[in-house]
Amino acid sequence: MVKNEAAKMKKNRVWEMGEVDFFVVSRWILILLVLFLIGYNTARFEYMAVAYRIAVLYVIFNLIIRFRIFNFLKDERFMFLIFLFDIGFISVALYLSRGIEENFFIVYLLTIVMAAMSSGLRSSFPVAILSAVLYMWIGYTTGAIKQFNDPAYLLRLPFLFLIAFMSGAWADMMRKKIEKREKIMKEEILRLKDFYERIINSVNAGIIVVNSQGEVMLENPEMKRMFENGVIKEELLKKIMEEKRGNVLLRENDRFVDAVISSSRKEDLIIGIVRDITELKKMEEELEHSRRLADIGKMASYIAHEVRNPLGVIRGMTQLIRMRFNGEVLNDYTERIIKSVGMIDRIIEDTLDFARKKPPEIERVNLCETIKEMVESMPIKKKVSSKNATIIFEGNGEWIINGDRLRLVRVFENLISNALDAIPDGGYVKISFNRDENNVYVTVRDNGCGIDEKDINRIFEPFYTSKKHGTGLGLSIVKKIVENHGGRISVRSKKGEGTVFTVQLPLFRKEKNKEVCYEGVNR
Amino acid sequence: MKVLIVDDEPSIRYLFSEFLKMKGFDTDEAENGMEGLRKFHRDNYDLLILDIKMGFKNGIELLEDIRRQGYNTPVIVCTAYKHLEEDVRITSSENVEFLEKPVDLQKLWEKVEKLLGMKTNAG
Repeated sequence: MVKNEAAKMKKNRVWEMGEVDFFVVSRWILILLVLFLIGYNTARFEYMAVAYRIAVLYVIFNLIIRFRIFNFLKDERFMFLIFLFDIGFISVALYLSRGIEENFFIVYLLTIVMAAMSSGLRSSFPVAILSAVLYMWIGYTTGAIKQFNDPAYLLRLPFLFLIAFMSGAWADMMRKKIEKREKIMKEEILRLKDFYERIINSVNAGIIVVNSQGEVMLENPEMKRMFENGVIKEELLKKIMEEKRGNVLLRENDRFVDAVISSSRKEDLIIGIVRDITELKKMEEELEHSRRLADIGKMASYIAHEVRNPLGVIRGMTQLIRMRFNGEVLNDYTERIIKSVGMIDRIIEDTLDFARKKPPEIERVNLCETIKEMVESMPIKKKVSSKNATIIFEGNGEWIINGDRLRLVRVFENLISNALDAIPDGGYVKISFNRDENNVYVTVRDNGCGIDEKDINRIFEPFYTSKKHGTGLGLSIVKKIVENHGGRISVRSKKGEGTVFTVQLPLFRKEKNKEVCYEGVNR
Repeated sequence: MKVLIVDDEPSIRYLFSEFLKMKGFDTDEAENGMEGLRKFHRDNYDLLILDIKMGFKNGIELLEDIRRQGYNTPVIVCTAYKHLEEDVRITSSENVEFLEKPVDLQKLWEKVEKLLGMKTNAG
């Protein structure tokens, strides 16, 4: 933006200089012509005639002005001084060459007109006054006017003022007109500038304009924001300069950037419209991920139906064999078959659970009560007794959350079951309940073997497991359920010391007269 | 006591049949809903074991038909999908038990006892 304005201003100054130059050149031609006329009139081509000497002086003096020694003379307010000076020169030439005659009257008129054209009445009147005085004085001193009240001369004086007034007033009128038009144009330019700037600044894409030398002429706020957020300016500029036209996709600092590049016809301006598509890419990846999960869902559904029948036959037939024939070895073998069938079924169930699209059944769930009930259920109880484990509860409260009871049970069953798997014989699992204004926090802590540092970031990934017989879906299902309830799950672990899972779930709240009150009451 | 086993999978029919025979039941088999309904009308059964997914009238349709006709015979529905339970419950919740696949004979026996025991108590 700044560069464009500078170029425009420069252009404006050139135009103003042109106007000044026009007056300078006109003055020079006029004055020199007059001086030569005076010289010729009085001394023909005599080399050192007074008028010619004055002409040389005039040129030297004007050159001095031209080279800006008297810079103040460039100011429009002092322009009339130049014309006064011109009148002085002409008058001196006329006086010294004693060449005043009726025809030279016109020189004063032309100078007045020029003064008027340069800066209106402000210049034309002083010049007219000086012209009148000098004209009368030279006429009188040279003897051309016999007496001051000579009507032949006196009648010419009003013309000097009339011309000064007419040309000055006309020039002022024109100036005002031009100024008015300029003002309107300036306002229109500002309005358009504001309009385009607002568009460029509000576009939800980065805009960058580069000249053919690779200098940035414009960049909008969105573009600046992108640079602040890790898009590398130099890389982008390099690509823009290389491509000049077309589409490019850049990957910089884990950010994906899509740039549509176009050029002006002469290729002196290259415009890049840049979009940060990192979020879009993430969404695409998530979409792809959910598509994959949907495929898993279909597959799981197929497996559930097709595999569960023969699996049932295997289990059933094995059970039948056990009923019919007895024997220690046979019992051991058949027990192993039945256990394996149970494991396969667990894999199928986990996969189905993970991919299930069934909407949740939301109800008010008393979290502490539900978890305590679940701990009393058979599968957990069995594990507790086989490990001689202790389950410790810490904190208690009727904290109600809005959720799907069965799925929440699944979450804590999974976490507690994992904890029981991890602890040594005689270990403990501690379940603590806490809350703040908006959330309830359930912590499941064990003194088990802990999780390896390299595994801890991956434990919520589907199909990632460190267990021998795990499906790797348990914790990813847990995470999915917690997040679907608007909650969060985190894990801390130290190898050999144990693991702590913290589940944060939003408390149920009722909006009443815009005041929020919680159903949960601390006991 | 006589049980009708309706399932399109012969090995499942054979398994149930063998098991129930061992427990002293008479069994009869049908490989789809249509055949099952025909057999149901031809004979008196104390219990039906139905698979859900079958060609020519599935288990739910068969259950709906017999309930509509006024029979309150106890039914065990086998399903590979837990969520299908709810669909069936809408149709009929009385005298119906669900058996998840892969079938476990112990659980099957629990359901049989429960349904027939209930019937005995009620009768």
